[in-house]
Amino acid sequence: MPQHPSCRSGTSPGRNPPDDRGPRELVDSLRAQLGGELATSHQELTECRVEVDRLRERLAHLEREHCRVRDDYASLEQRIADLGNQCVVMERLHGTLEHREVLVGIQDVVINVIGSEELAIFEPSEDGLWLTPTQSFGVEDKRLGRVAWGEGPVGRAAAEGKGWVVGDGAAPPEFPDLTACVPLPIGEQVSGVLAIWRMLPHKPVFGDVDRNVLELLARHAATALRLTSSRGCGHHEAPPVRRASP
Amino acid sequence: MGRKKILLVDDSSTVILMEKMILAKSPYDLVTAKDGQEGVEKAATEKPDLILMDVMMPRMTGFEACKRLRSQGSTAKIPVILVTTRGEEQSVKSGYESGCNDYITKPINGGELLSKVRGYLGA
Repeated sequence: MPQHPSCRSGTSPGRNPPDDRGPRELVDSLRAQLGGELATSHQELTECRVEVDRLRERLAHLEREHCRVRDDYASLEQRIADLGNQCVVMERLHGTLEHREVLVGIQDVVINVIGSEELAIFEPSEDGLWLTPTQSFGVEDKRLGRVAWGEGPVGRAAAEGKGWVVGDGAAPPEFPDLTACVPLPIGEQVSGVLAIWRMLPHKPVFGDVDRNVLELLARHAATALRLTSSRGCGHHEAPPVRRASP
Repeated sequence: MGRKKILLVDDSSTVILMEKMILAKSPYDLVTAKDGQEGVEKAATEKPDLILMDVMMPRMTGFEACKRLRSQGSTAKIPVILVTTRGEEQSVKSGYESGCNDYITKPINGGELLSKVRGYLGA
């Protein structure tokens, strides 16, 4: 173990002259020197601790900032996805002049964008007194009879121009497992009704994003159905539209 | 290094549109097929780096297409992500038995899809 310089005895040529202080003086001197070094070290340690605290605070700030940016990014990506979904809805509904294709498009959007494989689209009959299912997927036949205008959840949605979506209150007693039953409105008129029953098992929640997509889908489906019918471009005869009662 | 290529296989034009929208900003070339049979054929000719495959399709299901891909030397090692409305355990098990590498459920979540695609191909 190396000795402290002041503890070494003897001299060598070219080095400091011999220390002629007594042992007590040497000890006092050494003690004073070590005390100074200790004070300096304490000072440096204090400064280091302050620096560590400062860095910790900075790190915490950066972590908070990182979380904020990450959340903003996730929110932006979600927004982009929502806009993408809306573009998909538009493209599917307005990218064809075939009535049948529009119906399939509505079904496809409900299955793949909203997330339900139990749905039916009802359109008014020729005399306007009934609503007839013209497209359906995954729904039992007993639920798919024609419906009198104004009766039952489907008829009421058409007659009143106002739908029901899960979360709006108790489900209609006729269909306790209904998720949504919405009219397809063009202004004050209704060109059909879209009913959606259970959501996919791994997507049990009908969220705000779904509600927005459904609202957009209903509005544009109405227009697309009406346009493709009235132009006579498809195999489907133009169904009448009826004014919803206020 | 060339751009990575992804083969999108789905009979629903809505799903193809969604996938294109989600992947549009990423540096991948996209090719499409509308059923399992066409998917297997395009995989052999296009040599994609990744395949996103629907399960329920006309002519050939995603499970069957996946088995075919695994049995052909030129396509045996291409990663396949199944895109399915069926998230149940049995369906997932069948998917892995057919040789798929991963799966995502419909409705497609953009973030999840991008994350899985990047996991296989890099950003």
